[in-house]
Amino acid sequence: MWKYIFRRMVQSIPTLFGITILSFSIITAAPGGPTAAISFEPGVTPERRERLERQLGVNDPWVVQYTHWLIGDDWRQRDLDGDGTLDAYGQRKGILRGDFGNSFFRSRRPVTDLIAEVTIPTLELSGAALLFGLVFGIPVGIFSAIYRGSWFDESSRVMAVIFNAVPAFWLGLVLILVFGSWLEVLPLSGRCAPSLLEGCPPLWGRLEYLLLPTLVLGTGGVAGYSRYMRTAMLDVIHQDYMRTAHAKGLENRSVWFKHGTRNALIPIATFLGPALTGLIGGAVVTESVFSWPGLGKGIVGATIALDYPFVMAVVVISGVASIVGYLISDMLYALLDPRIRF
Amino acid sequence: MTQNAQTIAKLDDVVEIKTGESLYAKAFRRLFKNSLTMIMLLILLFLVIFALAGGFIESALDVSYTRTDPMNAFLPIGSAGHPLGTDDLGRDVLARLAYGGQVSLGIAFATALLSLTIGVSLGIISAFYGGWVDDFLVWVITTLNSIPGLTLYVIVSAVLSPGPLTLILALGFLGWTGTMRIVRGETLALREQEFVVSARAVGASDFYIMFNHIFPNLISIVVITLAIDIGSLILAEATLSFLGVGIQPPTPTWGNMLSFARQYLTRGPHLIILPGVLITITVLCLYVIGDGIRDAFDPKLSK
Repeated sequence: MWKYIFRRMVQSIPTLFGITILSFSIITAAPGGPTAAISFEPGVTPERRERLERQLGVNDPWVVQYTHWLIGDDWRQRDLDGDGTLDAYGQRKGILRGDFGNSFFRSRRPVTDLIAEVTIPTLELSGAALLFGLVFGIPVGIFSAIYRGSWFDESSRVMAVIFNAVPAFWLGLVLILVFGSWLEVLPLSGRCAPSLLEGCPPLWGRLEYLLLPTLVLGTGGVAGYSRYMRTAMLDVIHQDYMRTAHAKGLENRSVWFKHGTRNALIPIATFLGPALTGLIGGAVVTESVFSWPGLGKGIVGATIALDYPFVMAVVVISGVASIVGYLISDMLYALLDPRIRF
Repeated sequence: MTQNAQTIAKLDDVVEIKTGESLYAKAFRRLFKNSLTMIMLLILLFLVIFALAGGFIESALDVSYTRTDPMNAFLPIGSAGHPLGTDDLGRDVLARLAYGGQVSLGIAFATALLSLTIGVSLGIISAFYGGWVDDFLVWVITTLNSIPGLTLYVIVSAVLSPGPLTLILALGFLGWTGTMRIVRGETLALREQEFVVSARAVGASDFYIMFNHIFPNLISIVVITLAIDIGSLILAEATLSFLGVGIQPPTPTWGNMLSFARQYLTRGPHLIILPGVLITITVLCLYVIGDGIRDAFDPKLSK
């Protein structure tokens, strides 16, 4: 097992390397270069921009820039005051040591701090959506498999196809229109009631804010898990041990849930890794529709504002998160199913 | 009675073999028998005709999709002269939906063709040659897949600040990984088949084998992927335009029409409902058609 984990981690090094190259080249290829955002700021003269460019080193060859971004520049002389001569050692530590640089905006705070701030609301929302997806999707999948071909199976199939085709942002808008605007029973958007205090009260005090975003982000999950669970359950239902369980006179309920479901749930574990990536991607839309102050809304805002250090960090961090997610779900698979050995 | 029907069905099978009906003729026959797919195909056809008839709708109703008329803003559905009402600037919604449909459908179709071309050619090449080419391409798709798709789309399209063409290129060059993976898997199996080995034995060139022996066997996959890809791309384009990083106004698309409508929740609910319904129906049609084609080509899979 440990050998397998180690091998998987070594295997993911090239992928991580690829992610950093991708993240770096998107920004380098951007029209106007990485300083485009700064040059729009009022009071930035061409001289100041030139100085800033020297300080940031954007005119260095891209290999040099990439190396600095990756491993930092505190090991070589840099032009820190931007006067054109080398004067001191650099200060950046590089992303491999956890330094993603400072944001172009928001008081030039470190990007890692900003990302940490927006990650909590996103975890809150995607956790709720994952839970919603599993709690509704898995039972639907189980009953679709047990009563295969029934009206329940057919209608859950139709619903899954329809909900795959509905744009998430539109579903969000319609829900806001119905529940927030017409019925006026749920808040229109946000994570909690606006107040002068920093942050939001604990979760149980503002569940009404979480309800609609969870519904929108989780619907795809319900559709996906129910289909996946149905297939997994159908595979299990025809196994010999199920027939044996029926034959020795066990109740249907105990055969389905004790013998069937527990085995059918194992392949679902492998689904959690991709689900994590899906939730981060889906959060981009859901958070924008509901003005949820999380990572997804942060990405959209930062990309439109050309806050490149933030964008590059998000690409790298979400890439790492999804690699870790896949790794964990594969390990979970091995832990749950004793037949699997590495 | 049932026995008779079964016998006839069996006889049909025999006749099928005797007449030497081709795989495609068989698939088409099954496709035409599948009434749900046919209905969806008709609806899709109707939607395409509606989108293409934008100019005709304008002249017939004496409206224009660009002409603003602030005095008549937010007219509801069923108003005189504007069957589907008007938007926040008094522009005719019916005409805008038609033109928006042209843009949305056009972009999705062009992007799907581009990503399919890339995915199929790289998939065949990757599996056919193997070795470092395969390793490299698999590394590329693993990297692209490890970043949440929508996040990547948002970043790339915001950075490129796209018009329709750049959006097609960006989505096309990022969205081929799924197709490539399927095609690569199929080609790996095909590569070892006798007809490929014998073609090689008589001295056919690599390109000839890939194009004339492997590609024709992938056509059903290509058609299925095309239908489903166009559906997903309509969703992607709508989402990006809604977030403000896709097609920019004044060019209407179903997505950016929604982006502006969200500010007028109470004044113009029809501005929110109509474009979303069109997106949903179109994508639904394409997904069901994709499934229908899959069943037609491989009836075993659906059972």
